[in-house]
Order: sequence, then C-alpha cells, then structure tokens
Amino acid sequence: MSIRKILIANRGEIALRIIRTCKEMGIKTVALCPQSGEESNFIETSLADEFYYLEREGPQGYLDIKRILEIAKKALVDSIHPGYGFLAEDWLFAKLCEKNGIKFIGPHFKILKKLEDKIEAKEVAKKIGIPILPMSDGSINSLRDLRKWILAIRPPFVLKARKGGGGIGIRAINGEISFGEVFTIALGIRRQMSMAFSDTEFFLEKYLPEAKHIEFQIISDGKNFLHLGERECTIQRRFQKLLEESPSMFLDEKKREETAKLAIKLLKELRYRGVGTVEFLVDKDKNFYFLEVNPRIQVEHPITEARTGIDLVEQQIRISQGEKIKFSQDDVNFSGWAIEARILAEDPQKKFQPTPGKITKYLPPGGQGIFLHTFLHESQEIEPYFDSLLAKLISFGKDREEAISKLKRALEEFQIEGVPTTIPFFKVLLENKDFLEGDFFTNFVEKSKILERVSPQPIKEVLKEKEIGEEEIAQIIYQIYKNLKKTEKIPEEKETPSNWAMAERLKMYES
Amino acid sequence: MKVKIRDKVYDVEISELEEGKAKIIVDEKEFIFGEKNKEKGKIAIAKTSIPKRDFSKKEILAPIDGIISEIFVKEGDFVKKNQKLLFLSSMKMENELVSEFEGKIKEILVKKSQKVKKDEVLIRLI
Repeated sequence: MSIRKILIANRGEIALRIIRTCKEMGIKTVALCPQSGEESNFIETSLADEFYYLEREGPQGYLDIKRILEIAKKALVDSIHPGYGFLAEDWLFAKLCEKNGIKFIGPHFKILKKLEDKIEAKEVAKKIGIPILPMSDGSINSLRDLRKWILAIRPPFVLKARKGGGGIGIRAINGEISFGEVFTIALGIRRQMSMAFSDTEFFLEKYLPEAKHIEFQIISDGKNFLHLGERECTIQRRFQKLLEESPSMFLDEKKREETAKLAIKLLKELRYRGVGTVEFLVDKDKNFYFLEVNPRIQVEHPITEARTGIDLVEQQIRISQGEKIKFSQDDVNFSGWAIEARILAEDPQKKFQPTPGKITKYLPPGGQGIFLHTFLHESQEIEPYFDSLLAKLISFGKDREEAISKLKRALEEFQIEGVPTTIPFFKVLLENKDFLEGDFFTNFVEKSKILERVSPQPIKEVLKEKEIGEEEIAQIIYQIYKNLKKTEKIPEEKETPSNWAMAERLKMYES
Repeated sequence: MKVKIRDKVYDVEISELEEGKAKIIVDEKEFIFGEKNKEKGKIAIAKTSIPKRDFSKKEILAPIDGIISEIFVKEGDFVKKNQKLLFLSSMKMENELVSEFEGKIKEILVKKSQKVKKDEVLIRLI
C-alpha cells in the first residue's frame, strides 16, 4: 500500500526534515503544535499541509499517545513518522498504531521491544559472536547485586538504565568509590529515568574512557541488508554527541568491511526491517564492542546522506510501504568527507549549561558544501522544555581537510544572538592539533581542557523587554477606568465611527 | 484586584475621589489621576511613593529558565547552607539547586512541574 499522508509526531528540525522529503515524494503531511498561539515557534505548522494542537504542555504533549492517535484519525493519515526521541522507540505506541490501522514508520514493534532492553540486545549480539564489554548479566535489584558486580567488574564502569537511550540514564564511575555512593548514584538514575522512560532498572558495564564511538548505518527491506558506511561520534559531553563525521579516520578498509558485516549480521539475526544504526565502542587496539542498536532515524544521519546521496527518510518511507530497496551494496558510492556540528543552546564556558531564551539575531551560513538543518528564525523562543539542539551544521568536502575548512568558514558566518551556543566550542575544536590528527577519544572534551580556550560569548543578554513600572501600569488602568466611565455616561459615543471613515462618507456627500 | 502583565502579577486598587479624580494603587505605590493641569490641560500625576520592599532577603532564584522537576523541602523546614532544595530541569538536563543560606523556609512559591523564568523567586527563607 502506498503512503499518501503522514503525521509527523515530532517537532523542530527533524519535523521539517521529514516534511521536506514527503513534499518531494508527493506525500501530504500533518504537523503538531503544542498550543494555539505558538505556531510561530513551531514552523513545521506552516510547512505541513495541516496541523493540530496537542493537549499537554511541553514534551508531555508529544508523548501523549491517546491524543496523537486521535489526531491521526481525525486527519485521516495512513502513517505516522515519529522522528527521533519522543515516541520513536516506544513499542507500545508502534503496536497501538498497528492496531488502529496506521503504519508506524520504523521497525516492527516486536523488534522495538527487543531492542529497548539493552541487556537482551547485548545477549543477541554475544550469541552470534559480536564482542560486548564485561557487564552484569541482569538488572541490579539489590545492594547485594550491586556489591557483587562492582567487585566483579571493578571501576571504571558505567551504571546504565536497562531501557534507556540517547545517553540518558548513564553515569560513569571512574575511581575507587564507596558502595553507598554508587547506590546514591543508582537512585539518581532511577529518578531521572522515571521521568524519561517508564522502566527504571539498571545494569553495570565496564567503561572505556579512551575509546572511539563508531556506528554503522544499515538499511534493510527485510531481505536485502546494506550498509551505508560508518559515522564516528567520538566528540561528546555527558554521553551526548557534539560532532560526528563520516568516514572515520580510525578505520582502514579491512576493519570497516569486517565491522559492517558484524552490524548486518546482528540486524539479520533480529530480522530487522527499516533504517537502523548499530553502535560500537572501539578501544585503542581497534577491538570493537557492541553498544546498542538505534532503531530509528538518527540526529547525525545527514552526514551519511551527504556521502552516499541516499535520502534515509525516503528509504524509511519506501520500506514502510513495502517496497524493496532498489539498489545493491555495490551501487552504494561513498565519496568525500562529511562533518556535522551540533549547534546547541548550551554554554560551553559553563560546562554546557543549557541556555533557553529568545533568538534576537539569526544569520545562517550557506554556500558550497554546506547543509543546514534547523528550525531557527529571528524571535524564535528556545523553550526549556525541549532538547537544546538549535541547528545541525553539515559540511561536505572531498577529504577531511576540505570538510574542516568549509565547516570553519560556515561557523564564522553563522550568527546567532540571544542565547549562548556551542559555536565558539567548535571554532576551538577545529583548530585543535589532536582533533586534526585524529588523536582523540570519548574523554576528549575533559582531557584536552579545550573548554578553557573557548572564548566567552558576549552575552548580549536578550534585550529584556523593558520592565513596566508601576506608574505606567497605573496610567493604563486609569485610561481603562476613564473609558469605562465615559461609556457609562454617553453610550452613543460607542457607535461614533472613526474620523477616517467619517471623512470618507463626507466626501461622498460633497460630490 | 490583580492584573497580569507579561507574566507578572500586580496588585491594583482603584478608588474614585471627588470631581472625576481617581486614586490608583499599584503594588503599594499610589497615583492620583484626573486633576486638570491648568497650564497644559493634561492629566497631572500626583505620586506618593511608599518605600520599596526590601529585596535583600534570603531568596532562592532560578538561575535559568526551566521546569521544577522535584522539590525536596517544605515550608517551615530548617535548611543548612548548601542543602539540596530542588531540581530545576531545562532542555532535558537537570540542575540541583542548593540553599545559599541557612534558615527557615518561609515560603515555597513554586510547585512541581511548574515552568519558571530566570531570576524568578522560587523559595523565601527567614
């Protein structure tokens, strides 16, 4: 069945990203808006063919399955694209879509359910011979379990939510630490998780501070499994990616093919159908360890698109409507080098503290080899409700050097005022010798002390609308009071037309 | 009566005086309107200002815009300096706010899940 109309159950840049491909494919789109009056902050409402209001505030609105299905039915869509985050990996939502006769654009709910459980996913990988890091073999449910596994794995290790994702619910424990402290951290994860995810179990895994984060993009129609190369996402903070590039300097052709095969093997085993990413940690000796599968479109997907010329959202839609992939592995041409910098509303000088606010000036970069995915415009409100991603700035060149100089040039052009952003961080990063030479690992941001070199952002504080003084308010109230008084006494004045209209009428009489 | 302008609530009181004059009190400041200024024919404003409230009190302010995700204390509690008071979450990140002062919690002005603006008073201590 071919897809005719899609509800985009997301916001911001990814909503726009999906709408754009839909338009190119001649598919109608439906967007969401939190509340009436907020349309200008959610420009997907003007790009889509129609839009509907949510009922709950902030992210709660986008997680409101009942309301979203209600909108889907009202708008007569045949499919829902969840984007990333929110409902993208919610198997229950995917199942409810199926029940209601709506296509969920993503893998089958049974696969989502399996992959949601990080321990189960690792067990599948282990079974087919993909190395995993030493870990506790089940959820930790008591202080006794915790003691046992800390003694077995030893620091450094990470405490991870069993059903987490997107770097949420992960804590690294580096040195010697008391059981009590670990327990407190575990409780912290529980609390944080109960906000983000429904499940709050966690497990313990060996931590590799000096590792590369490398992932493979796979697409599958259920029969054919192709890889679209790797993305290196090693530059991170708080387990959240900041900059991604493709290819990775760290891999030679042999290692690349070998690992891509492992990734494909895993998704074949899972009978995966759709677009998905297999994440690995790679140690200094190039040993690969499976981390997790991301069963959705990822934030950093545009770098793969830049190198292969394949539209991943289009592939998701085609696979969802039952099409076979029309090209083979040999047809996939990799060319050049692509880098993505995540422009966030965060202040690198203050340890990436979030910086909500209002955009007072916005001047985007452009030109050769630059792609920009964003929802920004002047006077855009950056709400504390949502994640801090403002824009994805992607550069594409024939090699790494060219991609870097293009990205540098684009960062120089990029002007965002009103909130501090990560732009100054990238400017310093792209000058860093270790980064340029490829000598960096996931602990780079802390280890390199690079943040000390980030130049301060002139906090052109959002020019606060001048505070209204008491006197001004008193005057306004008096005017209202006076007008009310007037209308009480001479009600006929209400009907007096304005001078302008009257003048027009008089003219008519004159002629 | 209370008037809300740009997210700020003001206490307003209006009383009619003789000859169409009106007294308007906004947050304890008094203004008189309606007296004809003979020279300009404009409305003259008589202002009798009451001294501003003392803001040097022990107040916990929101460091950035965010949402209150957890409150650990209640009114009447005694807190020490650096004691955890609440979690402020912003952009999927959480910020622990600790008390800058020692004292008794006089007033908690926010509720869980409430959205707050930068510099908004969250907790008052005595």
